[in-house]
Amino acid sequence: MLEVENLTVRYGPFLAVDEVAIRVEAGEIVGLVGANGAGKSSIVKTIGGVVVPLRGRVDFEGQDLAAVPPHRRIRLGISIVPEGRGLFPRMSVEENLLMGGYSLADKAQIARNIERGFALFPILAERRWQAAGTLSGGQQQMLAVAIGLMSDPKLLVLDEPSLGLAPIVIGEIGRALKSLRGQGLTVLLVEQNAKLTCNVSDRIYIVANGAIQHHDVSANILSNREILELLI
Amino acid sequence: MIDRILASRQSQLALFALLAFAVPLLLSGNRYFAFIAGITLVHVLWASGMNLLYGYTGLMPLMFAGIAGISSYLVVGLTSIGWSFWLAMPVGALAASLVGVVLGLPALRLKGFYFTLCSLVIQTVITLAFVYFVNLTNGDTGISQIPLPTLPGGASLHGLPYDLVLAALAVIGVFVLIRLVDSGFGRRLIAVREDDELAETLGIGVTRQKLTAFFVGSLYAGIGGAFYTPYVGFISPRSFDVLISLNVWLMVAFGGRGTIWGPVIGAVLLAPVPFLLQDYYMIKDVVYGLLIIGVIVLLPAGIVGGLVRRPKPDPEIVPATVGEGAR
Repeated sequence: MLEVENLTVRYGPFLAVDEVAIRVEAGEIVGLVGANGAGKSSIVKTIGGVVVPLRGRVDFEGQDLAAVPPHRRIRLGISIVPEGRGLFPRMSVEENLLMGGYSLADKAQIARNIERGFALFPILAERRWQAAGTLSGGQQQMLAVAIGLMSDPKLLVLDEPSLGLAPIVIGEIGRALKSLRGQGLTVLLVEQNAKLTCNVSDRIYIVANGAIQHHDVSANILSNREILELLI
Repeated sequence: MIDRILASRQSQLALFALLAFAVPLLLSGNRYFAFIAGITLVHVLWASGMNLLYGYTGLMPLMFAGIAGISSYLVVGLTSIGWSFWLAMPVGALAASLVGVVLGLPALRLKGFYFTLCSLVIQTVITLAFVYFVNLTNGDTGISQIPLPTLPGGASLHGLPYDLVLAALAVIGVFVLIRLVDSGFGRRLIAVREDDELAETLGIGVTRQKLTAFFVGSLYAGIGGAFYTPYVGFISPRSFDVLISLNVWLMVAFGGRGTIWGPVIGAVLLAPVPFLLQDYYMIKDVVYGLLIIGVIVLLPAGIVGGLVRRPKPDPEIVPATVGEGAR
């Protein structure tokens, strides 16, 4: 479904992403794990189109995305939940969800998707009218995921959903991801938290210094002490 | 009860319309005060346009006055070659907005401080053009004795009727702003202001939204400029320099950006200040400066922004407020 080839991103003299190749098949949850500054967010931003790569290509369902401007990509079915601030703090929870459904034309569908988000994270329904910025960190991340799902994406890219969250919240988001996969969603989970990623993903790419260092199915990564130590 | 009525935007607009038309009528005995009211009404229109850009889109366009100036000079030029004001006004305002959009096109790809800096350069270039093209603008000397708009009967629009036309413009300007802000377009602009990268990710074409907002905001500048010119009767490059842009911006920031009524209140409070302090021109700038500092320190979100919390009602709290109102 998503195919990243020879991706190279350079900010001035700094090489952020170096010849990265990633494949995500339909129905998979794929983890992209690496430490701070490994180049994960640059890869996400290239998929979103906000950063233009020096070399390489990003294909989605066989279509080269190079000519697709960032705001058109969501209409192809790619939804990105950016790191840290995937919501509008001064808008209410509901207004945020409405913004998430901006690319949809059908009002009934938008209403259905809002209810689906509330079913996934019931706490959001209770906070429906509250300004998103006043939610707790965990609730904000749930809202960010719910916003990402509003457009009925085929591929959901999550950038660091566990950042700064309590383990119990991470567990809840992990559960949500698994249940979404059951409904046929494809997920690219970009994370520092190796444990969360291994628990929910089918396959893992390990990225360091802008390059893919290792790639395997999650079970093998979990049983490989060397790799685990590299991650922790 | 009165609180509840004032809470709806229609009644707020109706109250504003009442005041906008009543004040020139009440002041019609004193041409000088009526003139101050008229100038203030033009500034209400300008501040509403600036509010769309600065308050709702997050752009601080320092070429705002320049665009008003382009429209103003165009209207003077076109009426001098025999056009009716009523034809020259829309043509001038529209042309000025288009020129503004074309000049602003590269700047609109920038955001925040960089956009502001770029708009400052554009404003400077526009001002220089007003000075440079002497045979069109009469340069630094300016153009005086600008004819008043003529009415269908052949009479000229002046005095109280002109004041009332300006009042109508201000009311229409605020009304259009309310409609825009409450529409999907307004929500997109707010999304762009709050987080343009996220807005782009969610499928909003940020540059296009900014461009549309900029065109509409420039129309406010242009229409205001066109009506301002015959009203005052004299224009020079100084009438539309960067200080005027800053003045209008200040009205928005002072009153409360991103609120409908804040910039209106800002214009009503600040536009008359230069006239009222005319006899004390030595301390005029000091008073102005103190006002700015006071607002920034005490009410950083502006007068309205500082006093009024988010208007969105929390349904769980509504019964409590209803109870209070009944008491």
